[in-house]
Amino acid sequence: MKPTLSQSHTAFLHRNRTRTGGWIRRVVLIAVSSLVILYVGGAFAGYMFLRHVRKNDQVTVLDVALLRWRDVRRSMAAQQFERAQVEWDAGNFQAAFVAFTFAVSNDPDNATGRLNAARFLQSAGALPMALTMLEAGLERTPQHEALIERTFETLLATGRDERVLELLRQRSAGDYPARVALRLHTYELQARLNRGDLDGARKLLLAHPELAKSRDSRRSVAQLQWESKERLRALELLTRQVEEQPDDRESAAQLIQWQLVSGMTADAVRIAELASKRAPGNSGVRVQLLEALALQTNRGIEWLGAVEDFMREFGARPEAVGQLSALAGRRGWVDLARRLYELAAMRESDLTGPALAYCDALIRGQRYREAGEALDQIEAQTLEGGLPFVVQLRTRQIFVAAGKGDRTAVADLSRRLAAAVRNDSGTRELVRRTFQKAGIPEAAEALGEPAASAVAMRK
Amino acid sequence: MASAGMISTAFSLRLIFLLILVVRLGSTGIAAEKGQPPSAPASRFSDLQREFVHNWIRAAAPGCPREQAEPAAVEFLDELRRTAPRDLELLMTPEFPIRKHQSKLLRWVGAQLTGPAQSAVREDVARRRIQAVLDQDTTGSAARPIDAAAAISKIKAMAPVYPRRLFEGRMDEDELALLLRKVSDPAGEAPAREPAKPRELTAAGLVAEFARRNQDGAAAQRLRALAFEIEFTPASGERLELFLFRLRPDRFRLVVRSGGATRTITAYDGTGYWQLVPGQPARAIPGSAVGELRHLREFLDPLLSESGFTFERLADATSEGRKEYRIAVRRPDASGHIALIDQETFRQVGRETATKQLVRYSDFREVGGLTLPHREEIFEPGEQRSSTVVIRRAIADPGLVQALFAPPESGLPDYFALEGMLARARTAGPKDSDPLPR
Repeated sequence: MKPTLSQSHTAFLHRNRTRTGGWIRRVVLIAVSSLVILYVGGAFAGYMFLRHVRKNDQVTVLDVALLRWRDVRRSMAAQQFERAQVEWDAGNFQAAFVAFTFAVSNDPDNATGRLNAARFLQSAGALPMALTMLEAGLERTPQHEALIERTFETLLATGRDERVLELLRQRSAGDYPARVALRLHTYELQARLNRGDLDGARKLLLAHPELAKSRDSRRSVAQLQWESKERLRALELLTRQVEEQPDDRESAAQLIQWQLVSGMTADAVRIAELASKRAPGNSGVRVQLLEALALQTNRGIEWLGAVEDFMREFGARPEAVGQLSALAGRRGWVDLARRLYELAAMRESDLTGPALAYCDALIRGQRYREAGEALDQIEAQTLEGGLPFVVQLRTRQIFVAAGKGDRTAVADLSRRLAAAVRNDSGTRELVRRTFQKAGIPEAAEALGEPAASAVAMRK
Repeated sequence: MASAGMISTAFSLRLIFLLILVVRLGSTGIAAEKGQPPSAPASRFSDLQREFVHNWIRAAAPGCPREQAEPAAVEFLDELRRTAPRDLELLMTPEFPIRKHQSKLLRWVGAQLTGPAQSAVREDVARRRIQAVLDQDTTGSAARPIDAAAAISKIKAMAPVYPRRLFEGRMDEDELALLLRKVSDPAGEAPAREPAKPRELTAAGLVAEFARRNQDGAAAQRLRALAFEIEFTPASGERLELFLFRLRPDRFRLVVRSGGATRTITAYDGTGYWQLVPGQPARAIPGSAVGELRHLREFLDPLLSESGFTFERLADATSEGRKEYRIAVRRPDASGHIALIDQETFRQVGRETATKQLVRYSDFREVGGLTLPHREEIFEPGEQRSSTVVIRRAIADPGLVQALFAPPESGLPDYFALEGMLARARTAGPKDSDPLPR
């Protein structure tokens, strides 16, 4: 029996549908297979690239296959941090710099690695870059305590008090645990004190009375009292701090200086002896004891014995002799500064440090002509001094010019110093304060604002 | 009509934007062609990029001062952005082809060194640039091997425009490659400006050539102070340790030590001589009693000094198969000696004194741009054994001040006491320094 028209049409349609379905299935199969092959090939190529070209030992095929980019980047960063540390230890600063930069960009949330990179940059003399790195880290991980501490303390130590206040304005202490909030208030107090804003510091202390009770804030509070002419209270507060926190060397050093200024030499010797016992291998602490003893005994026999002990214990370390040299310069002991310089000449290749300490002693002893000549000789022997050297040299030259009463030279040297520090606001502020405290207003004024040309350049 | 008007307005705006773009691109291109930095180039590169290039400059051209290195870095980055943007992207990666771009970098460094006192640094940078090109040229395109120093001296012997353009960083890569091909090709070699035949040189010519060959640029003029740590072994007797410090114009301080302790200090402070020995105060010494030590007041060897000496050429001599010039050097006080100069190297290889003492110099090394002997052998007339002087350390411009040369001031502890304390210092004590940044 012949099929009817409708039957043959249905059969045709079915055949056609079956053919079309098979064709689609085949296309889909090919497409899927291609995708799988591409995926596997891509993952394998990516793995090979990371493993052998980028030399990443920690990456696995699974990391790449499952597109764990963050993990891949982190593992790469960990390797780069490790490599950076090796290069840093070997003194290969350029390679360390590149490795640290890559590591931080690969794993920007790694606060510990970032802190290490910032330490490296600071030790390499790239302070602005270190600060940029720290501040960028603070933006990403604002609750990281070590990062907070390091950022603010570095800013404060380098005269960037305005920046500290600016960053603190962007934060609310309420967002932090009480301990961190207290620390942030302490930074603000210190920044205000550094800027000479005593009223602001007092208001802050009134608003946050807990600062006066905190051990972390005592030094700043004591400084506020000292600068508010409440010296006895400041001495009592810092003495309590040193007795309760005998390992707080900065407070001990500050207390000794205040006691010496106040004529309390016996107390200063006692505190210095305590600090020395706590840190017997610390040459800096021993130099403080020498300073206190020198004033107590008027550099008598007991002091000579202490110097001999110091030399016996620390003389092999160039930095210890440098510390003694700096003390002699600060105290105006020209004879000792000169002898240490003469001895350094036979031990060291670069005599700039001891020579500047000798100049300090001359300036302190108001022997300005000799100091000026010595500074000129040091300058003539330094073809390319970095910024720290230029600042140290010009600062002393300004002191000498001011001591001689040569206002033209003061103005000229101040201009040159301002030009040298135009791009380093922190150093400029620190030097400006030095001149302000020393009563050389012309120099302080010249350093008040960056030179117009520098502003134009930055714009 | 309205829609036609809107279309034409939109078209006009697009045209204006396009024109602005074309003008901007054009002006950047023109500035780039002229070798001028486009306006505010510093803002185009990150601190990291600039710091990276700056560090690179410090490694590639150590003599370049920081204030010149910074603009050079920006200029270089700008050129890199224009000519090799792909390489700019690789800048901070280990894949960045440092060797390929070293010459370009040094060109910009040279261009920044414009000060008259920087001629020596400029020349050094040019030499390093040539070395970079030669190192990069692995194809052997140069007609014959040549080193950078030889290439520089040949370029200097050419028309003045070549060395000037090279030193001032105005010679681009192609031009430099052609020039190097020219100087390394014996056929196209320019007539060398070598000194005339040695035998024809006068005493003044010899001294001038000696000064040229034994210093880098005007190093002798730049140098302000020198410090030497010396080991002196006499023909008979104990070995001594000497420290000699010199400060322009005529200060010296000679410390004689043995067994780790100072025996004497003899110095000249610009007005008179003085001496210090342990246990006694410093005493002045009359000039007549100083003897040969007075020549220590000469900051540099007479052959490198600017004035104050007369020279006379004597008959040449030969020592151990090497020909030597002999120049009689006379001081204003009529004392003098004969300097022996190697005819090939132009080093001062010896000296004959008025007392017939013969000093032979060797182990020449560079100190602060000056080539100085680091070993001397002193032969006394009629003696078989010689004394030797070995310079263990020589430092240029270490930071000496006048006080080092003046008699000591009173005060305790005195110099010898302090030295004794240091000598008794523990070599390794407990260390607990204040926490450093690291």
